[in-house]
Amino acid sequence: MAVAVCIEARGLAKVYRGGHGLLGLDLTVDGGEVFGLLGPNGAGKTTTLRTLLGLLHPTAGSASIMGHDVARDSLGVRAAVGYLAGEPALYPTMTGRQHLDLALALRGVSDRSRARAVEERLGVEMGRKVGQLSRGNRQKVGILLALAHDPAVLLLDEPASALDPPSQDALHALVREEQGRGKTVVFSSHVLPEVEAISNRVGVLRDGRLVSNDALAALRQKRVRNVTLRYDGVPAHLDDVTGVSDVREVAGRIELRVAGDLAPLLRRLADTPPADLTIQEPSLEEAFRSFYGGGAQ
Amino acid sequence: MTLYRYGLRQARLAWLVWTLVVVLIVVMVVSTAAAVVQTPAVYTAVMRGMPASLLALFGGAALLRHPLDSYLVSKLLLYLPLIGGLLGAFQAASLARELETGQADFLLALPVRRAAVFGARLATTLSAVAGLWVVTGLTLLLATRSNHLPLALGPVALLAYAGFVVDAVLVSAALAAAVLAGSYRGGLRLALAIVVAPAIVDWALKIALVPPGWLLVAPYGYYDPARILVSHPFAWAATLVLIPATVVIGYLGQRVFERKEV
Repeated sequence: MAVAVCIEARGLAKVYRGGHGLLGLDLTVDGGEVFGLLGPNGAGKTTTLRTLLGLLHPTAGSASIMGHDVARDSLGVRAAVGYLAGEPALYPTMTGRQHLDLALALRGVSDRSRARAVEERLGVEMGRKVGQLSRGNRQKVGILLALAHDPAVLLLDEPASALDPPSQDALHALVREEQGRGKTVVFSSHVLPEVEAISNRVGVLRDGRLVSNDALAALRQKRVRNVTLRYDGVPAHLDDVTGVSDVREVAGRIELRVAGDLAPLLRRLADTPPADLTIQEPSLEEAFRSFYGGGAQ
Repeated sequence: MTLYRYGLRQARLAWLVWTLVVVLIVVMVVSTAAAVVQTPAVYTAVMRGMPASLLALFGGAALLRHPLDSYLVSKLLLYLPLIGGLLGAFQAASLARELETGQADFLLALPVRRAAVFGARLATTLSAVAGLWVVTGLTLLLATRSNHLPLALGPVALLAYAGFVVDAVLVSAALAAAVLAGSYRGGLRLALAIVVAPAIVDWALKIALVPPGWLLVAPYGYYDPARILVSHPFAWAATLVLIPATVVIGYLGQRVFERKEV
């Protein structure tokens, strides 16, 4: 099932009248890869996914999915892809089951085994009208519709948004399972830990440009976390620990930043354990600043 | 076919509501006709006392010149194409709303040609309008029979057909315009303008008592396309114009929909 190059974009651009959307995307995603598209709101994540699917017409460049050109062979693309929109706005008067029946009928798919499996895993409420469902349950219906026909490629726009933590875990397990079955997944998110949890590789979009395209390990090396320590006694000396910077004492606490691997810091703390330790994920903007020194634009 | 069946299911409630409205109007008109037939002298006196332009607008002049079938035809063709067109306009606006809210993503992300999505919506709407006119014709026949009014099947069938071809061209234009607008409010405004504007022009021309010889549609002394459509060879000429116009406008609407970004 897996092909060497599953998704390829060359100079793909989508420029809106009011401003930029996507500016010259060069991207290759291999078959069987889970690619996370990370970026703040308005970075161009949704535009990227919708242009790849053919819902938006590129203003420049080209792209293909499984060998199907997204502009000239949109039908081929859509046959190969399962898509979850950022906010799945399904028909409120139809039930999830009716949506599924219609989608599978139009795809010419009679095998419902995958749909049943996903329905059970996510606990999707299929019998109720979509208009009566909560945002999270609508999201589950959308995820089911994306996966139901067992597509070779999944394009998921903020798939975990509105899901409760157990459902997020189930989704992440599903994505990993899809990868294990040789499927290619591209998903967008603005949550760094989520991208870390399921991606092999991460692309960072900012203002319509792909400013980074790294393996997860490389991303981890670049990230900076905020650490707060509280000592009841004499605090450890941390200035010389690898990766540690900006050490300062504030109101009886020690605040510092750690770049990359936490192991050197934890080894030092093992000698002089603190009374309390908090490790805070950076916000996405902080992460961008730490990755690119604020010069990503 | 799947999309068509799905569209029919989506449109069934709107169709039911509009059909009930039409049935009500037909029954009311036929009741009036029964009164007119039973007391022609009173009615004629009332008609003659009205301003000529108002008489023309409500089809009263037809009664003075023509028998029952012409009266019914001219009265019903005053309102019913507008009602059928409004049904189409709201259906068209609902497609624009689906584009605006992202509901259309569900269909457009499937391996289905956009032309098929638009075509199915147009076919669904035209089917609803056709159904409306079939019900109109049947209600008219039943209502006249129950009021012991002698009305032949021919004029009724021609009335339903004429109403449908008028609505078909209006509905296809409304759907294309709504897609072009891309938003519910904009789409609804455009669709309503397309449907209502011809009716307003029609009424204005009647009130203005457009003189004989105005175009080719005034053989009765004033402008009245209703009776032209159902009782004259021009009905077939109108068919030859309106059906191809529906096809052409539908095709243009498909092209707009294919290029539409969502």
